[in-house]
Amino acid sequence: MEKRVSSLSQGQRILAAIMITDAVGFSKRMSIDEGLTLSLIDRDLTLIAETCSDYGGTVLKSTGDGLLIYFVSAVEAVSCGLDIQQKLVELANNTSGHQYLDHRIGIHLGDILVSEQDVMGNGVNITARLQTYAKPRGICVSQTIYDVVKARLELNSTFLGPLQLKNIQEPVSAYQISLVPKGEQADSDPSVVDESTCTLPMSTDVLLDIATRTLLTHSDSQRIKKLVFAVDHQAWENDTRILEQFDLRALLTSLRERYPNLNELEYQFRCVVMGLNRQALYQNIAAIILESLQPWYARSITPITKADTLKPAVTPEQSLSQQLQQVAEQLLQNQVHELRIRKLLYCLSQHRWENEAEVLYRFDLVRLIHQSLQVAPHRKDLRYHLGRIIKRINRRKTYTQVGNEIIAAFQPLYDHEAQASNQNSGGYKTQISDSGGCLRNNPPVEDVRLSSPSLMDDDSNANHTAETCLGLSSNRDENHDLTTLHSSLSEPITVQNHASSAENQRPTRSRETLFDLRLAILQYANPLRTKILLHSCLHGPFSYTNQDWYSLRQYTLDDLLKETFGYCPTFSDLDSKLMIIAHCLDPHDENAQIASVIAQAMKAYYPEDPDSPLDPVDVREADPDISLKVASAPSAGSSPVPRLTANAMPSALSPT
Amino acid sequence: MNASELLQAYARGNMNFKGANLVGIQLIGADLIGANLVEADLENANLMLAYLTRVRFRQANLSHSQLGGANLNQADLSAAVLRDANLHGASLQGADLRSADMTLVDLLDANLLGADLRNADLSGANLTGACLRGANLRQENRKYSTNLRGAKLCLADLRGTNLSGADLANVDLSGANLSEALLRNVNLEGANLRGALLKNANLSEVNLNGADLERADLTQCRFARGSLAHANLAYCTGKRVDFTDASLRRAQIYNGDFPEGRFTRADLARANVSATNLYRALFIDAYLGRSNLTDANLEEAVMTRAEISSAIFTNTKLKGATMPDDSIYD
Repeated sequence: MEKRVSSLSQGQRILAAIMITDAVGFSKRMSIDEGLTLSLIDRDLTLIAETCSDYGGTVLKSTGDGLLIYFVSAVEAVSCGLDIQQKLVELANNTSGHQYLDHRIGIHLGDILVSEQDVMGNGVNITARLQTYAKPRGICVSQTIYDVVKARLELNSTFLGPLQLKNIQEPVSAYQISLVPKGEQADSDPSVVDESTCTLPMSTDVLLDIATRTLLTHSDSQRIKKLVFAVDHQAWENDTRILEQFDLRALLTSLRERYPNLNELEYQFRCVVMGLNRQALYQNIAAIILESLQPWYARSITPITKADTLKPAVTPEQSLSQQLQQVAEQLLQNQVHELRIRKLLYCLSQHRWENEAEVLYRFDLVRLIHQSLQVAPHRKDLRYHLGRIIKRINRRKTYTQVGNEIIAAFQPLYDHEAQASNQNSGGYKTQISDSGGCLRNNPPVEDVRLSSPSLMDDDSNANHTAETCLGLSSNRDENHDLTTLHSSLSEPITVQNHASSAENQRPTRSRETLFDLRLAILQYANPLRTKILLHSCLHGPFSYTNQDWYSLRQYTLDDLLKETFGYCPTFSDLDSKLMIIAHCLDPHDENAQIASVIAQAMKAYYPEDPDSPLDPVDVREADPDISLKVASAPSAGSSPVPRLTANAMPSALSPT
Repeated sequence: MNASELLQAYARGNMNFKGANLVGIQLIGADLIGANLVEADLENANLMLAYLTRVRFRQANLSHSQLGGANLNQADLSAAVLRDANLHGASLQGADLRSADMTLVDLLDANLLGADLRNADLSGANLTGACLRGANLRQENRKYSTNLRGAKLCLADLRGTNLSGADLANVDLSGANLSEALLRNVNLEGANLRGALLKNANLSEVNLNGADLERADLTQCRFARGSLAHANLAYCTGKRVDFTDASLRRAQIYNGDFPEGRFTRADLARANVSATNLYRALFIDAYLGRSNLTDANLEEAVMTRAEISSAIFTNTKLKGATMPDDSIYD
């Protein structure tokens, strides 16, 4: 095959539509019949190169079984891709037997650096990765390309969702484009079969990879992920931001740990689907998942995977129980919160809320910890589950702190994970800082308004000591409870706050001069009340005596703010301290509002808390409207779950 | 009229208390929004934390009154007497304070955003930490101008304010923020501007004789034709600061950082400019008689026609500098 070296001068940068082609199963075919395969690839690549030049494309490089081409027009690139696939299919149809190769094509728009010998650039890497998501005889294009061409070309496309590409930092949204209309695509397409029939014995890892990719590239990948997540975690999650934190492959791995055989898995899927609103839809999804997991389940897990997934087993049994004992001891150090720790762990492991101290103390703490560990085998899971529970109860602040203590105490149990994740770029490497400092909460006013409406815990009020199911039950007897919650929450919740996520990535402002901070506060809060609040926070509650007034006059707002920065090392610390002091001063409501203005303004001056373990970011999910749906959802036959409306709830912030 | 009578009348919907005698009245935290207190006598009244937005206090007597934390947003206080009043942490956003007598008033940390202070008398007032952003202090003519003599303005936020022509002699502006402020022809003689922020401020024709500007941020600040004799400018930063035609006689400018500063035709006689960074600075026609440039960095500076014969150039970096005879030093 002739290799065309581009006429571009050395090291030139160009913005171009980049296309990469790849022959399916090339190496394997080579190992079977080298001569034939070589002649086939030569023929195909010549065809591709010729077609490209018809569309104004420039071949930059050959990869052996594919080509790297660039186009100055995205429309031309996609049309060319379709033409290539069309020609190749015709060619294949005209030959008998296996006298043809299938090709994958990936197209992306990117800046590339072209030198005389080579091309480089992130765009090329993304294209190469996208190509692997293309179906044989299909094309995979990035969102950028798709947006450019969609108005000009009539395409048979499926959205693949944001793809986590290997070695690419940000997810890339992509579309699958195929020649045949969707309907006809099914079984008649030889290429679909190709992938599974052409497999040589594969490792379980590869099978899992294939299953993951099939599910990810499926048009309903989001629903697939939701369902897998629901079965794995026994909790329905609609928030895409939370779902994004979980890798589908990891979810599948943990799913298999939980349900080692396919029948059991199928049963679990059926149970979960039964609890959903759109049963028919999710039944199909479940079928798709089970079908693609079949080859992987058919193979027993090799020792490698076992070591990988069952890490605690590697450490001797003795040391695990020792570790559990240590965790229990550490948790018991905190006398004040012991009951609350038990409540949270009980809810985590038993999937229901218990307020009776008698019942709670009957359980051995070590056993609770062990069971919790089984529910949450990874640190991420623990965070997620605790966050989910806390989101739904009152006294969120207190419980957030308790939750953080639990996470900190559980740390040794997850240490092996931390070591393993060092290779990955996970954000979980960071050690959790001391529990008190990790609190991060939304401003109080919001907190009060948005506290979860349907479920609650109340230490002080004996009225609600009834068992309050949190919808986490994996216990089959309680599936109807699960049903209730699922059916109500399976409606997609569209309340998403992109602005807040953008805000989360803000740079920290300099504390050198605080003019902007003062201005931000003054605009929304009374300056004198602001000073009184900050003074109280630093020097004890203000008592309006002459002495206090005199003392207050000695400080400027600037002084007080600077002192507060020193006094509260983290934002969460500040937030909670301000809230507490606001409730010690009269009038509560006005001071609480001022406290939230101060906290909001000062937030920009604190570095982002990377570990913010139980950030109730998704309080919005607990929107009162949704709770109404909970109540009105067709959930006949469910157990009488106590439900309270938002206004009936005592404020989560009432002083203890 | 006592407090309860007043509040009852107000509750009934009577807003008019024009000229009422309310001396020493106790109205802590009262809500009198929008009331008419024109020409009322409120001497020694206690209105702490009261809600007084849009209240009309025109020509009222509020001397010695307690207005700490009061909300006076958009209130009309024009020509009111606020002598010696306590306005600690009060909010006066958008209030009309034209021609008000505010001598010795305490406005510590007060909010004066967008307040109209034309012709107000703030002499001896305490404006420490106050926010005067967007406030109007403009001098309309010689008689109609804000008086800030002897006022305390440390840490005050004066960004973007127009103080042109104001008399700020001996005023304490330490740590104040005067960025983007317009201070043309202002009298700042002997003023304290230590650590003040003057980024992009315009101080042309200013009188800063004997003023203290130590550690101030003078980035792109303009002092054209200003008078800064004996001023202390030590440890200042000021990229592209403009001292064109300014007088810096005997000024202390040591340990400063003024890259690309402009000193064209400036008078630096006997000034101490030691250990100062003057990289690429302009000294065209400048007078540096007996000025001390020890350890200063004058690399690539332009000193065309400058008088440097009696200046002290010990250990001064002059690489690439254009010397008075237009030769390049190397």
